[in-house]
Amino acid sequence: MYHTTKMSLKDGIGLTCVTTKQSKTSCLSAMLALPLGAEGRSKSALLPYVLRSSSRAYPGRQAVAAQLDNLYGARLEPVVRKRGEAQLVGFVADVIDERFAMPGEGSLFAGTAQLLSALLLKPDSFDAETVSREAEQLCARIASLPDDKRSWAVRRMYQHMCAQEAYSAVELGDIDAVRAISPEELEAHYHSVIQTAPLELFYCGSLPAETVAQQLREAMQALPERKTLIYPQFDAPCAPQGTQLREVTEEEPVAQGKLAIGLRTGITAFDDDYPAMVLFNACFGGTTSSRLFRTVREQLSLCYYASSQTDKLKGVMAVSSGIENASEPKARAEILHQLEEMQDGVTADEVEAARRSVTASLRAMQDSPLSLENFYQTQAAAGLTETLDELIARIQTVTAEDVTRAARKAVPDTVYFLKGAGA
Amino acid sequence: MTTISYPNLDDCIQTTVLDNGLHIYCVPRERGAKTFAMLAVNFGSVDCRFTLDGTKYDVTPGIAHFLEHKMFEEEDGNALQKFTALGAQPNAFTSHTMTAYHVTCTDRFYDCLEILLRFVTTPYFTDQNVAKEKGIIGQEIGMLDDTPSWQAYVGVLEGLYAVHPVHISVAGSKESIAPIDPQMLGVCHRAFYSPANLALIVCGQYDFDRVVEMAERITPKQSARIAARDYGAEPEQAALPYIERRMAVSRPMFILGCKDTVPEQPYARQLVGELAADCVCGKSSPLYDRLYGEGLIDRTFDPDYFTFPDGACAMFSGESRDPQAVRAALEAEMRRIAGGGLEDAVFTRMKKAAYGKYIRRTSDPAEVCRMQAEACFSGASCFDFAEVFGSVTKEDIVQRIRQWSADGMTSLTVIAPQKEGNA
Repeated sequence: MYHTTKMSLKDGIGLTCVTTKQSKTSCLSAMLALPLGAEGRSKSALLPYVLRSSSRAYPGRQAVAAQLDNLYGARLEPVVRKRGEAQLVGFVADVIDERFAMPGEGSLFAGTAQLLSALLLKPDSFDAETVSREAEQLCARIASLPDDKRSWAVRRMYQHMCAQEAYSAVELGDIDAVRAISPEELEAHYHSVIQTAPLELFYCGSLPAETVAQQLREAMQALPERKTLIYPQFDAPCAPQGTQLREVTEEEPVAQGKLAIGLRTGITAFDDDYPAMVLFNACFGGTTSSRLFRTVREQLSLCYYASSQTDKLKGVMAVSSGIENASEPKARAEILHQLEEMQDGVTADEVEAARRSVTASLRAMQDSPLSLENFYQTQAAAGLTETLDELIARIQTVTAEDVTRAARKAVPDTVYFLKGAGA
Repeated sequence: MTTISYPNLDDCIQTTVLDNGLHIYCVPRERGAKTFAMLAVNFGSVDCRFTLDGTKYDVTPGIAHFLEHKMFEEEDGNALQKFTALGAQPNAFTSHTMTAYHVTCTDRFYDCLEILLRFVTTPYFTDQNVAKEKGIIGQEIGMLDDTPSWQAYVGVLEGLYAVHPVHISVAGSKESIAPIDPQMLGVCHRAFYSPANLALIVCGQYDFDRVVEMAERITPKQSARIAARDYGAEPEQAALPYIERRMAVSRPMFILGCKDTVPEQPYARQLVGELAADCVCGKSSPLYDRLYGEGLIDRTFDPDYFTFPDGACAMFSGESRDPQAVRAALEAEMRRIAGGGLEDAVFTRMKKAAYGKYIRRTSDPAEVCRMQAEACFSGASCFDFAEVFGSVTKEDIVQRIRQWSADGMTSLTVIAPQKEGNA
């Protein structure tokens, strides 16, 4: 029902095409991959926001917005992501499929690709007003990261756990650095990024891969010839730091406490054990039949959510739960207890349930162009060529022993508690 | 079976009504990977004053949502675990207007459908399982209490509505759920969970006759009488012009609500209202461009519209250093448009974008089911949007905006930072 094609348009420009007739929309994205630890991180984060308002062909923000609305409300959003120790910056676009447009409209995909290339590759010189306005907006976004306590607790936990690693950096940049960026510096940075960063394109929609490749090759012609490309590195993850748990408590003026426990797994998507780690995560805290959901929530009634998630390019895992302050010792003890139990062995039944659940979620991604975009852009940034189907196939071969072995590799490193100090 | 085709949208709905009154709607997606099934109950948090078998009830806030949690509990276990054991992804939500239970699967659809039909129509409440849920929901409410966007939403509805129960938070409060017991839950289930008040909606791959056969076999043979609802006599104007709360936010968050008249055709009104809100300050509107340029709004700004039984309102939400200035600008723009100032180009562009947005929404089976649940409870179909956007006139839009710009129709809620100079 769908077909995945991977190709290189030219040196340093990769393209992944998922051809499907199922979706009523198509998705197009362009991502530049940069090392997260690089000095220009704050400038790189600001780039897509400034580029969106600096195109020669569509000067100003409203010209772009009007063009998008004329493309039936197409979306073209600046994006900044952290994937392992890479910072991805670029644009994600989606537009309705050609067959729903009125006759004589011309190609919606071509229109979107042309707009994307106009923003990314053909900027006018950056004006001071745009740069300072977008810098302020970005600073406001960075400052508002703590507003969402659930994700903030996990972020803070990783910042403590990985304090010595590039991973602790904020992908959106640092407020002081963002504020200090001048239009000239940003323009110079743009030219250096465009000269050295690998560019990955992704398309999902009804058009054949050859047609897409042909149109994107034309749209990307404005990209200069590049001599030296700098790829982000995905080094072997750091080993656990001794046997002592790092404990950190911080306070925020909120009602509910947030517990985040960081673990080092050392297993990334590059490893043979990766599918076993995926299933371990599902058994531990990834689904509503997981150990954490059944014990911390359903048996002990301590929380609304208790879940785990991994970063597949970093080899780390976070458990997070929202609880009463007073429940912290009990919740923490139960989470660590469940981990120890799983390290003694998981049951074949829970592995089967996890396998069905993970397989279903991965298959369901095929219906969602934006989920596929995220998956394949992350794969591409790390140089991974495995397709969704290949990953699903690997997951079918995992045994309960494999999952137990993966569980044993998960070593608790940092216990972070965001204590509610009253709203 | 009746089939309604929408050739321009590449979709159709197969539908029937069982003898017990249950409505069934199925939307085939032969090429998709997942199948999504939803059993929606026409019972939301606003339905808290009702008459059943001659007795008047005024039930405690949050009970519809509490009931949603408790339905998963079955005499022989928990439906959540049964779904996940099959690899399916179950969930549920309660809104002001409905309670919906749903499941996503990529295989074993009929097993999932059987669980869904059974648990929603089979109450099983014990003192013990009700007490346990208070801990879990108490933490869910604690999480909402700390979520600024939710508090802004609750605030603006309080500001707009003096009498209508839409001003009460969907989940209630820790205090309001304290008295809930099995008997109260039983009354609500009897009042609203009869087949005639339910809709079964499926999108994906299925055999229609088999779906009907299962629904006939598993749901009760007869419907009880559905309770009569009472929303009170709501004044025409907003209850309070301004509400402010202080929370742990980095900068002020706001929602400006504009009270509208009670819609005769809620489905069409929802679409026209959304389009009108976009014409006031959608992304490509002149006002958006000006406010963005002045740094008064940012990318979080969002115009929206909300219809519910016996009411409707527009909402403009976002973050701003000066919400009062945004309010003044929005109100001035509404008056300008009410006086005949809506440009044809803006109207045409916004209409095209709104149509594209709905095409995009119907791409996802989960969204199709949710849209159909909302539409069918007000006597429409989720694919009627093409017809509504095809016939909507500029005067329809201006009429809405004129209503919002009348004296005393707006209410602003601001969630302000706790400390001055925290931005």
